Amino acid sequence: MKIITLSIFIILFSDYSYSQNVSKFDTVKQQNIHSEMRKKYNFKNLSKKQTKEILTKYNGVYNQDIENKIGKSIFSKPYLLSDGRILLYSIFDSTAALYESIEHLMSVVETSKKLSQKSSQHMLTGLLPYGSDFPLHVDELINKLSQQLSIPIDSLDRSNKSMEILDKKFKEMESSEFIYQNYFAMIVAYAGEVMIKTTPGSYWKMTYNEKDSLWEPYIITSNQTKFNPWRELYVEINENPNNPCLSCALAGELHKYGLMK
Amino acid sequence: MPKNIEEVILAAIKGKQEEAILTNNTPNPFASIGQTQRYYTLSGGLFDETHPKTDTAEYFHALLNTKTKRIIGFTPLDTSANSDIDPVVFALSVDPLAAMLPSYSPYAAFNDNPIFYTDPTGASAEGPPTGPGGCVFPDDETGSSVGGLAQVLNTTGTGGSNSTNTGTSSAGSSSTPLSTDKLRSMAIQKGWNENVSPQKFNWIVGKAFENTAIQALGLQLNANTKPFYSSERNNFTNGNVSYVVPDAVGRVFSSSGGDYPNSYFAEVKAISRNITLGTSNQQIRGLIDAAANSPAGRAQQNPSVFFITTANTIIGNDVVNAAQASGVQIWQIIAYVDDQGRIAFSQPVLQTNSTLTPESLYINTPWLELAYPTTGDTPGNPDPIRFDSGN
Repeated sequence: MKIITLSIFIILFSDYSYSQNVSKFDTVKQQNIHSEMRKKYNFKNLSKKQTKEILTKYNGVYNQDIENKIGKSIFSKPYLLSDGRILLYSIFDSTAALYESIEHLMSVVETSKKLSQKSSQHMLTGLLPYGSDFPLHVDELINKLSQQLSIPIDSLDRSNKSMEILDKKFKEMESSEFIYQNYFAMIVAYAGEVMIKTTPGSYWKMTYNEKDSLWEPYIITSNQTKFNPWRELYVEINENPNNPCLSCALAGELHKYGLMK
Repeated sequence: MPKNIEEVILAAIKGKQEEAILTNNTPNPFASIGQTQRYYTLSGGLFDETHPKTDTAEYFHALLNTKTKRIIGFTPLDTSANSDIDPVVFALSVDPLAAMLPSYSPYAAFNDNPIFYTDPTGASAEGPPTGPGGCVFPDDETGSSVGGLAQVLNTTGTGGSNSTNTGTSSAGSSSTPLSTDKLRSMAIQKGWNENVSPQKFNWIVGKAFENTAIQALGLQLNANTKPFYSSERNNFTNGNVSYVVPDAVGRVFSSSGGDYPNSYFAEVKAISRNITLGTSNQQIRGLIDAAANSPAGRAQQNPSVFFITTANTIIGNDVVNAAQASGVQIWQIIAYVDDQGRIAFSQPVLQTNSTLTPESLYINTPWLELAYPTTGDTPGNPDPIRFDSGN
């Protein structure tokens, strides 16, 4: 009973800033399921030539039942191959996505349905804990980053070079959503600290975004320039989840202060 | 085959060449003023080579309105097709100035570059204007005017029918299309490649171009903080990437009073290859999908994707076709560089077939230095380009 009460307490109070439609914990759970699927099954993007070859070799047949399950699309059609794999044929460029099984494809589709609820919400929705107190937890988040990525805390010396350690650690990580849900707050905390070390006299400032009802962290320099330690990082992780260049996202600030060399 | 040529050939076969009369079939454009000069043609006057005028001419994949002297659209490039050219079919008309332009094929138009050169007289290609022209349109709901914003599109053609050049006189004396190679060499000249990895250098160059484009269009840097879900991108990346985060996002208005937020997306690209659906980890597939599912997309009110690109970036046939099928309009805005190394941008060109009038959408961008990217704030419009779908 005590454990249950404690769990409820933790959920209620650790998630107080996540008042959005999507529960962070549901999403993480979904992502973990997806992660297991990813390890279990192979996935491949096919060129035009490969698509044609596989469709021919494995007698690919358009399957309406599968299409009904995954939802109709103007862009693509599912083909069932003779070995049970699913080829998602891209109509306009004749390429394809090759799934190991219907179970594999459905796991990807089901996981994404949760994510669709977040569409057009602010990118920080549900990602940064502690609200306006975020800066007070920066050290704690960096320690957590060190532990979870097995990086000696001494290596995280808030230097430009140390961002490249993160670049290496996030290679071949998981989906962008997996990185967001599990690491993004820590990454923002560390990137902000690198900016502060780079630009002496600068500090954290939380700004309340009334339109989106959340707190946004910024770094304010001694000459009152406002730097954003999260947008470029978010975009970089979104576009290159398997090889994000997090150090690139800070390149501007480092260059500006002559610290790129 | 002209009758007299038949006779010449037959006479030669019969060994009676002296009986054949060889006439000059080349038109004489100066007959009305009593001169006898003729066009220089490759057939040397053997064939009757004429140059008929039409309202619309197609050069490579660009469609030119010969009256307004504007490119009015592009026909999709069929990249899968065999590129062999039938020389007989292609040689319907020979450039009258072929002898004066020995470095170009006499069959070529626009110096083989119909996107960047014009040919208003039909005689020879002319370079792009020294400063981007266009109209200034209200940039926000208050109706204030700011030069440098792509603004109102209407289907009546009255919104942007003049071409007043507003304040670009400080531009250099000439401008050329900005290629990715040129962009990289500009960055190298600035020393941005020193002590950085190739990956980081590419990132810096791309981001600097993006920042320059966003500012030139009067938008605010880093203003879009919204990811947009795309099931298509999700399904073609094994669920690795489920969103697109466009560089800028805006509203579409319809003349019937509709107001559709988050319904056009702008994406800046500095790449030397075709933009295809699969480009950048299926990003383009995601952008079109997200636009099709935007409020304007669901209401069938011309959701749009603007590609702001370097000069050698071509939007692929697959992108245009997918957009067409999804009811999404695709526009392209191209970068120029002047002789002082400053960058400005062209008018948007509609790539998809539409009832919209592309000539009525004008932008007027200032010439800007390529600046090192930062995540700092810049002035600009946080609610960027408004777009009137005209329906």
